[in-house]
Amino acid sequence: MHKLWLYLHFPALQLDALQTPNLALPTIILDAQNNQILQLNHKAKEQGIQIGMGLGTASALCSELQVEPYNADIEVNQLMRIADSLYRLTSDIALMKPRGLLLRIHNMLRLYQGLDNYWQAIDITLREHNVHYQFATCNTSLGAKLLAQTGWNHISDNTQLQQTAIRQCDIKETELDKKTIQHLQRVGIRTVEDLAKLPLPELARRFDIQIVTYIGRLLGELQHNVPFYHPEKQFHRRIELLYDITDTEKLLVPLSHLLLALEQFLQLREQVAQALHITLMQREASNLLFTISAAEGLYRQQHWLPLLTLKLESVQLQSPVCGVALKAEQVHLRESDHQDLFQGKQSHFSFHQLLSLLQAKLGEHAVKGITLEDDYRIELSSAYVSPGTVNEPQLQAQANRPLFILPQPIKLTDKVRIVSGPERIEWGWWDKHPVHRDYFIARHSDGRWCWIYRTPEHCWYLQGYFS
Amino acid sequence: MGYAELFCQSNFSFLKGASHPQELIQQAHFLGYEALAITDECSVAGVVRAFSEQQQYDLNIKLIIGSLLRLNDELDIILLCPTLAAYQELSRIITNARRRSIKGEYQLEEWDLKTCYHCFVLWLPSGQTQQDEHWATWLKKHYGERLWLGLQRHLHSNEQIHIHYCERLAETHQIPIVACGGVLMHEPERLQLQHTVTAIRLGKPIQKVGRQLLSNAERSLRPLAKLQQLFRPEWLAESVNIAKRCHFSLQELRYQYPAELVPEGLTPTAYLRQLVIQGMRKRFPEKPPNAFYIKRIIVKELKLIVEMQYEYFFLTIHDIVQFAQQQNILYQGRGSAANSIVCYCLEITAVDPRQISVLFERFISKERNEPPDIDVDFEHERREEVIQYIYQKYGRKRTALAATVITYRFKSALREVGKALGIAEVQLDYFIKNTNRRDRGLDWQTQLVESGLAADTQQGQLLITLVNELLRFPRHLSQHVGGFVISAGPLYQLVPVENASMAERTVIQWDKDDLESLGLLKVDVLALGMLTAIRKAFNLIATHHGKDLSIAAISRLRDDPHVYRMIQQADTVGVFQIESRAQMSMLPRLKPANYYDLVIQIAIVRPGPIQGDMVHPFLKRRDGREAETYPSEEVKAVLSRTKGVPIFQEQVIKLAMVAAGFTGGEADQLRRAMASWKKTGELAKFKSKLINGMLQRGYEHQFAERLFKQICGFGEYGFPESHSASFANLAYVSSWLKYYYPQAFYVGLLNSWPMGFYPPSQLVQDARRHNITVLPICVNHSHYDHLMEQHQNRWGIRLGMRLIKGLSSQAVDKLISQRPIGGYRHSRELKTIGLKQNELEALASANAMHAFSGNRYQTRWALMDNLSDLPMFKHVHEPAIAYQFQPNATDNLLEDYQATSLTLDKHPIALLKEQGHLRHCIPAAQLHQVRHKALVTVAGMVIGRQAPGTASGVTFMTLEDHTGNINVIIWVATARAQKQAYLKARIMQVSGILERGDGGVTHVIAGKLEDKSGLLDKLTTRSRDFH
Repeated sequence: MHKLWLYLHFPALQLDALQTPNLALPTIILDAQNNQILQLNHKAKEQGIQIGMGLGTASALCSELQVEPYNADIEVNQLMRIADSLYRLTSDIALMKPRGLLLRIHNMLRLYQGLDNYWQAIDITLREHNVHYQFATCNTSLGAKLLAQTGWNHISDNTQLQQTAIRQCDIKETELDKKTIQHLQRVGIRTVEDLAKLPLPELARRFDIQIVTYIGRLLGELQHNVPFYHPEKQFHRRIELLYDITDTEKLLVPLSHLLLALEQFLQLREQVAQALHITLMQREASNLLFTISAAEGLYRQQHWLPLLTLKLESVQLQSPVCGVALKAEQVHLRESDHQDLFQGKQSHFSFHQLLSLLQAKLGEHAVKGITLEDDYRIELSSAYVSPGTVNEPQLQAQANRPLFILPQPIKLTDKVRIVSGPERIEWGWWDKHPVHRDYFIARHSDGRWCWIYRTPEHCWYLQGYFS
Repeated sequence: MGYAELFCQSNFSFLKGASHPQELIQQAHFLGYEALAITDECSVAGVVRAFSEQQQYDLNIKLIIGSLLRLNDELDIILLCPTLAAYQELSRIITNARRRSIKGEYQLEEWDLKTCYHCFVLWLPSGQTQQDEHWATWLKKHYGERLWLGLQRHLHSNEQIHIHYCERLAETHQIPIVACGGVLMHEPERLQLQHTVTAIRLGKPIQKVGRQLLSNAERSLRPLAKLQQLFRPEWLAESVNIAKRCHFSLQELRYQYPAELVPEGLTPTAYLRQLVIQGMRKRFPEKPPNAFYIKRIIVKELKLIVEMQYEYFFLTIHDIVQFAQQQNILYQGRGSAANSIVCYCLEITAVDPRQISVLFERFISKERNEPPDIDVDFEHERREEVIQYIYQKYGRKRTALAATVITYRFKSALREVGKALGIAEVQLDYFIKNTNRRDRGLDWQTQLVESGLAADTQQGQLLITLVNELLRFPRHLSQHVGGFVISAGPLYQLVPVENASMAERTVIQWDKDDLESLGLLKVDVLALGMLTAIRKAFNLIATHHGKDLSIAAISRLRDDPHVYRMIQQADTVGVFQIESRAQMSMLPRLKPANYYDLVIQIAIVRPGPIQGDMVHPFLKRRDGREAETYPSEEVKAVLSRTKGVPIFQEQVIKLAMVAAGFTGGEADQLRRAMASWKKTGELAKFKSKLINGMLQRGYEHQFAERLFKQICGFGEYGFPESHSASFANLAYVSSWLKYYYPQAFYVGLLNSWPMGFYPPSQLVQDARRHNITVLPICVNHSHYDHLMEQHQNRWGIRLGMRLIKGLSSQAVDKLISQRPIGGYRHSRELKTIGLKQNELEALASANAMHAFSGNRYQTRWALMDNLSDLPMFKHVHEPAIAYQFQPNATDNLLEDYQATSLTLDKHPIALLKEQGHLRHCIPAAQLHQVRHKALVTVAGMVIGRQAPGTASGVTFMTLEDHTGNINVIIWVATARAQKQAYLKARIMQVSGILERGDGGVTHVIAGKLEDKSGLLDKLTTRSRDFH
């Protein structure tokens, strides 16, 4: 049986992942560093925008353009997801980051009783992912890749047909480096066919070995080994949401999808997890992270779901969520519960276990870490953070600040004697808490040292006590 | 109780100070301060602006010059200048500190401070006891009675402790305390901007900067009442005492010209007179008919020069041009003072005064109070020699370039403020790319909102306000293009000097306006490509025709009707100034027939006059279709030479004086406001004064309004008559060369490229349309430069190898020096002479071996073979295996463009037509046969898109086909509706209506645009786009 490869090319993986309602508008994915458009939707194409164009030309062509910066992580994540689901159907998958998958299929055909059946199975799975894809089969892996990338979209085991198609490809489409391609063009070589006509020794005398190897592998004259994909060891997945979610309750839906995937993942591996790290990607705020733990390892969705529901009740969103991610921690083999009474470890909680227990019982807000902030405003000079976070770099606390701060400043009604001041703070015009105050240290008639301030309107407030 | 602010930084302490020096001095005056010291960090770059403001508004406040200096993060002091000697000392210290460091930074050393004998010193204790004790002793020891302790109060916490600390220090070391403000803003409202520039400086969004931002707005100029609450009376009084002891004013600075220019025993006046007399003999070998008149003018000019003490200025320039003459470097002076007979005799200019007697009455004008203005242009490839001569002659200590203050423009301000406010960069890019600053219909604020900025949010409002404030703030000092300041003594006694980014270049801390304000003179040494081209053409003519020519000799020949006929037909590709499309379309209408017509032509086809609607009235009046009327005799005197239409900048200034009663000083301010209108927006101040002045003198309101509009138009692009006169001279000389010695003209131009308006491809096409044979690049005939070569008993042009991309001149030298007598006969021979592989291949692709090798693909393929490079195989020459790929006509065309950017074979459009495309398109050369208003279809390569600010919404596109260029006018609606073709096409087919205007100029008014680039996919052409 001769070799057969299938290559799947996903030309707009990030754009596909983005499926927001905004896609009715012309949208592009921009590589900001090189000012080059990488992907674009149909609407943008209609406006005459092309891949490789700069932002300047593109925005001149279309004034309502939606611009998303390129993010390779999103693509790789998508690619892994697709690979993972295909892994159930076929055994040898190679990841061709960031936008391609290479499948060795000749060894699968007997199982599926033919190429058509096999492709049907693959095709159905691909459709579920709702992504654009191009495909090709070929007797060489590089050939399949080249054909898929040029959008050949043929499934066939006819080697003749494949090789003819390859030879018609422009050398610009090949993986040869840009400089080599230019050199070839300057001596009139335009297609793979032209290149194949040249005796390899002649080529070797003029170019480095890269081109000879490539051509050899492309045309099947040389062997090519591909490193295959092995499913991830750790469950770590992420979903880009179809639309922003503002209600924590609604987050349960995508999260339960992830839990189901986790269940399948763990079940296949006979494993359980003890802690799940959940990340909520907030559109206009930093990521929200929390962990749920189970004292004993779990794998079923139905077991994790109540814990998660409880947890979500206490989560406060600062901004709409546009993506969720789930990572399993402390995974080990599932085994029958046999706790050893004498091990004496029953009361031992890890930091996370303790935290999740406390948080699950008391609510998210009840458990916090504390940190200093680089801010003149006393209200904002320290902040609660999710437990365990450390501020970088380490800050110095400010001088002359009282230890006891009232929850709210109160109007100063008692008579006090000003001892020192003023310290004027006029700050924070850029956010929602601007202050303009003159602070004084004052002595109350009963001997307390007070921290008071005056507003520009000459109202006096008491904010804290030194002692 | 009075107060003098002795510690105040302007925005010339880049990204620290948040107010202009002008704002600071105005505000300090308003608050009733006795004095204000501008003390930017290691700089005096902002002081002249404060000084000018003080002078202009006659502010009753003393301006003190000083500077804040930091030594190794442990000592902060302010040096103040009580006397000229102190100023010179400060200037030297700043220079030394700056020269030790790269551009924009400085490094102070203890030695600098030890050599400070005249300045007053304000010490700002750091609060580190040990350090402060050390420095207190050190400073007291060195400065004694000239030392004060500067006490600041900014309402920080623990300030009382700091005050006690300072008092104790002062007492222990017997240093008097003086109050000072550490001012960074002229008013507290600038706090937001100060925070913003701090964030920009630290490269972080404001939210992330934290307590490095000021905690309040106390570092502003504060009212006296408040200061009295903050400081003890004796501390405030001390500030006034110090200010009273400062007597130095910038007015005292006097420029001492280099004395070595004048031979011993002669006064500068006598020497200048002597040189002028010598020059007269040379310039007027035969006694001219109006000799008496000329002499009288010379006497008048010399008298004025002596009166204004400008002798050294003329002598300096004379010396520089003498050097250029000796080195055979072509040059030409221009500017108001350049158009004098004195300058003609000193050989600074070459415009024969007999041709334009009318110009010479407007030499330096005393009443206009302008400094003399002479710029000298030199050949662009050889200007460096002149600069090196200046450095060598006067030494690096005595000469430096004037600075140019680079300020925040819209794009940079928006980008930086946006980043500080935490807006994503992609978003900012998008705003910038969507904002068209030329669109005068919509201001940028509105345009930002149109591209999606939420103006109702806090962030949107902040962005707009802060960008507006940051606009025109200085960012850094850069070097002026060629303005040299030369002095008798070390320059640092006049102004601090710092390093420029270019190695071995130094700049002073003042720009040309500052120099002008102080009445200091600079010498402009500029570069001009056309002079290089003309000199190269002269050399070729001398070699091949045996004729010695010079600019002066050609202009002495008087107006040549043949040359003017050529100009009138707009046959001016390659000619200086009148080669642009706008100029060319005006030539057949204006029909210049003499030198002064050319002067007008050059000045009139500028955005200024076009925007001010001056072109049509001028044409009408000149053709006698409209009567010339003048509201008064004074106005007539100013405008009659341009038919009653103001065309030159000088006329506008003069009008302001005679019609609106501006004084000389005011007119000078007006002139400067016009020049920097865009940068400073100061022109509006003059509007009411101008209009009221004219109304008072009985002029009509309409006339006054029109004049102001014209001034605004001029502001941006106006052209002084004096410059136009010099440019016209070069335009004439280059036209003369094009007419009489076209081969030398084109070769001179091509060998000076890059310069001018047209790339080599178009120059070569123009040459061929003039029936000049152009021979291809050939390794056996070509040199690096293009050559004149005899071909069939006529002079032709042999293209040079400089056209080949990726081929160095050294490689060509090697190729030529090793060229066998009979020429190369095999590409192998070229492999042995030591050229780099890529250079060999470049030669092959340029078809430079066509004489003996097969097609270029085959040649290149053979040259790529590395087998014969190996020593053992060196003498093995395999018979070349026939290479199977042959270039066809299109391949050859593409290769020609790729290798040399031009082709001598078929033009792409001709090729496409041969292949059956673009059938119905009319070639450029046949358009003149098409009747006016007929429907036509044309096609060509897009070689220029120009959307000038003057013609709102119109784009002028130039298409090139095998027969010439086609002018296409695209209205904004057409462009918008067919955006894709409009923006992207490299080969365009246009259907539209042919219009023939005055003088037979044809345009195609575009209707349908079609992008035909796909026909010749890979063709790379260059289009000159101006947006």
